Amino acid sequence: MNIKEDFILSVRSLLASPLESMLLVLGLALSIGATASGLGMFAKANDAAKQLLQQVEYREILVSSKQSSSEMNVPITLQSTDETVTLSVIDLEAALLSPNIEFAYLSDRTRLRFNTGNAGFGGFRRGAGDNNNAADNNNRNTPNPNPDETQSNRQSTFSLNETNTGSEHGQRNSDRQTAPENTQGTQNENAQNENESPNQRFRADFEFATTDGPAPIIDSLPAYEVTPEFFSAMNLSVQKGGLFTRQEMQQGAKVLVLGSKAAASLFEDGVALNREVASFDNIFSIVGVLHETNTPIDYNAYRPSQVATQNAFRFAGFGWGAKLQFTVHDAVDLTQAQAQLTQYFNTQYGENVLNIQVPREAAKAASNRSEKIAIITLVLALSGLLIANVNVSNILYSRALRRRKQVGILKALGASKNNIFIMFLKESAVLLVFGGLIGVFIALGFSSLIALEGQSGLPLYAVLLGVLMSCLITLVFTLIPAIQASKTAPAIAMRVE
Amino acid sequence: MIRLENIEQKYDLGEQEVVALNNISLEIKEGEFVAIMGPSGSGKSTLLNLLGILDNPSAGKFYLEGHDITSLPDKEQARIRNKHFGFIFQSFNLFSELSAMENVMLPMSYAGVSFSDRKSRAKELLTQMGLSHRLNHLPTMMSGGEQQRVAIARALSNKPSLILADEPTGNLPTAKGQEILDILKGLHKQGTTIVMVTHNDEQAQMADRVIYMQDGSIQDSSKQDNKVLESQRGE
Ligand SMILES: Nc1ncnc2c1ncn2[C@@H]1O[C@H](COP(=O)(O)OP(=O)(O)OP(=O)(O)O)[C@@H](O)[C@H]1O
Ligand SMILES: [Mg+2]
Repeated sequence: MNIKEDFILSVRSLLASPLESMLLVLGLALSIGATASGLGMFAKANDAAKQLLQQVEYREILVSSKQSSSEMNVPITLQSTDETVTLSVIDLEAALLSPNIEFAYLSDRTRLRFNTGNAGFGGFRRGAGDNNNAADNNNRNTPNPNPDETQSNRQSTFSLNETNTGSEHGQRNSDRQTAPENTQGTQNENAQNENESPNQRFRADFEFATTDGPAPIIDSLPAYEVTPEFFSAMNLSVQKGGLFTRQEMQQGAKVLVLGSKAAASLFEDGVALNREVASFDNIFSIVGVLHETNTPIDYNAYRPSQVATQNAFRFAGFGWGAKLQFTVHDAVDLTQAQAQLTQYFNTQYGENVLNIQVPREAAKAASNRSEKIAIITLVLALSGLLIANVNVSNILYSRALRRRKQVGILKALGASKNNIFIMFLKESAVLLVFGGLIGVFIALGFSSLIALEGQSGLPLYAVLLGVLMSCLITLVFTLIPAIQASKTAPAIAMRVE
Repeated sequence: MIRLENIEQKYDLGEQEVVALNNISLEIKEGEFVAIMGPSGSGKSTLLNLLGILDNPSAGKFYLEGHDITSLPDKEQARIRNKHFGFIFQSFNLFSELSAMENVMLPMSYAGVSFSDRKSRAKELLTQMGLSHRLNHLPTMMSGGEQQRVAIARALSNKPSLILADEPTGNLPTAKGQEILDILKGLHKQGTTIVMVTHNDEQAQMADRVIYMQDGSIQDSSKQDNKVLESQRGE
């Protein structure tokens, strides 16, 4: 232990004016906390933008039929389907136009509803109601990369059932919401509407297909109808089983590849591979389970695109939710590739029939905006730091003035200017250590607030960098009063009372 | 030991200029006990501060052991104050935040003395001063006489060769003042040079030499005796 007496003197002087010292610490803590949080948020916004734009989705060009994206909230029957273009696998050949396009695939979001064993009208009715809930739950639990698409997709599933019963659309929906357990009469009517899936339109009655194996324990899964290139584009591989091939797709194979979470949740025992699952009258074989990606992909089911099959029951307009997705290797090639695709599709289908979107542009605009907000936050935090530092420096200066006699005596006893300067600097350091510690807690508090909202907190390195940076800046500001104190003439000891 | 040549000390108070010391030449020999007397405002404290390098003169030369010290850097001056000089003030000037021990230990920390050595030396000095029962007391809990003895212990901590005392008994009752003076006399006997400002003729009588000051100047030695008589008559 070799604490020098002048340091003890410093600390006791600080303790002798507790209110002033507490104010100093508080001011430092707030400014350090604000700076650290500001820097943390800045770093977070930057990281998030970078990470987001690195995702495959943001190297894609989406080509979709105009109606699917523009009038998504209007019931399908109110739309004119005449101009609807059915995009098919053939259109993927547009990819050959541009050497920059790495992958091209077709994707259509639907929902797979399963036979959970409650066959028959009543069972199906209940099942339909439950399905609705399950869908909602599922949407909440699985972050959707394209949230605004959800609505349209769900509608598209319904629309298949409703093509011929459009006039009852509104009524049916309200029935569903207000009275899920209805009287027999309406139930019959409803059931009939529900049942009128395209695959069943020529059947008089309805029955589920059943499998020999166990029934699934969940009612439905978000599902995508994709061409096999999807897996390569998204860089997905199976942990068990295999992927489906283009040939299988063209043969209309009823196979499923499941995301890891979807596979684990489908059956009671968590085993999905090589099992069969019934959806309406189709029986799907589960041929593969994907590796975990920690993205929404984990919760999805993937089946071969039906647009490709000739014998699948399809009619014009069914492919309205289908999107052609073209992936480029390097994001800088997006613009050129988009131009080439636009030209191709314009000659193919006419202008303004298709939407050719680059999600990256919107994402970039959004991330630019959040980056600007982060910069403003940082500037505000730094202003806070500056204001606090000016005040802290001011208080320290008046402290140094009040302690002129102390300094004079110290000098008479042999303290050099340097000794006094260092003594005052150490005092500031003590204040800074406490202010810094509380500041870290403030910043971590903000960080955990953000973390509570389901996001990761502020990056720790940025928070610590902020603390370090603001401490250094504060130390610079405390140099001035320390220098001033060290200049006090020693003879003052004899004069100041 | 110390030689002052034509020292001048001026204070610039804006428009007004105060001449605190005027053409002072003075020699203090090793082992001397010098008393400085004079009316209030005559420049006694200013001279003592100068001798202790607490102030640099406006003009003139200051030789310590033959070296001109006015041009020394701050660090060197501080080292001399720390190692060779010991200050005793009228108002004690102890740190109220530090215990008696810590007050005495403080100058030794600037001299680079280790903590344990500082502690044992402080204890030894305070015991010498008859304060072994006050080691961990704060100055505010001690009497004036006790405080001044702590201050003396502090001044002695680095074994100085010169003690500069500015009215060391000024704030003390006569009996307590005598105790302090006895301590100084003892130090003088051991060979320490002592320069002491005092208003007390009896105390001045104990000195080897008395310097009389008037309006910032040292009075003629020939007039000194008259001065003593004068001031004695005046009281
Ligand atoms: N720092 C200073 N600034 C301005 N004037 C000063 C300063 N120090 C001393 N003086 C002036 O110099 C003169 C001498 O002051 P000094 O303190 O040396 O007198 P003194 O003899 O010690 O008096 P006392 O017996 O009252 O202690 C006084 O007129 C004083 O006002
Ligand atoms: Mg004086």
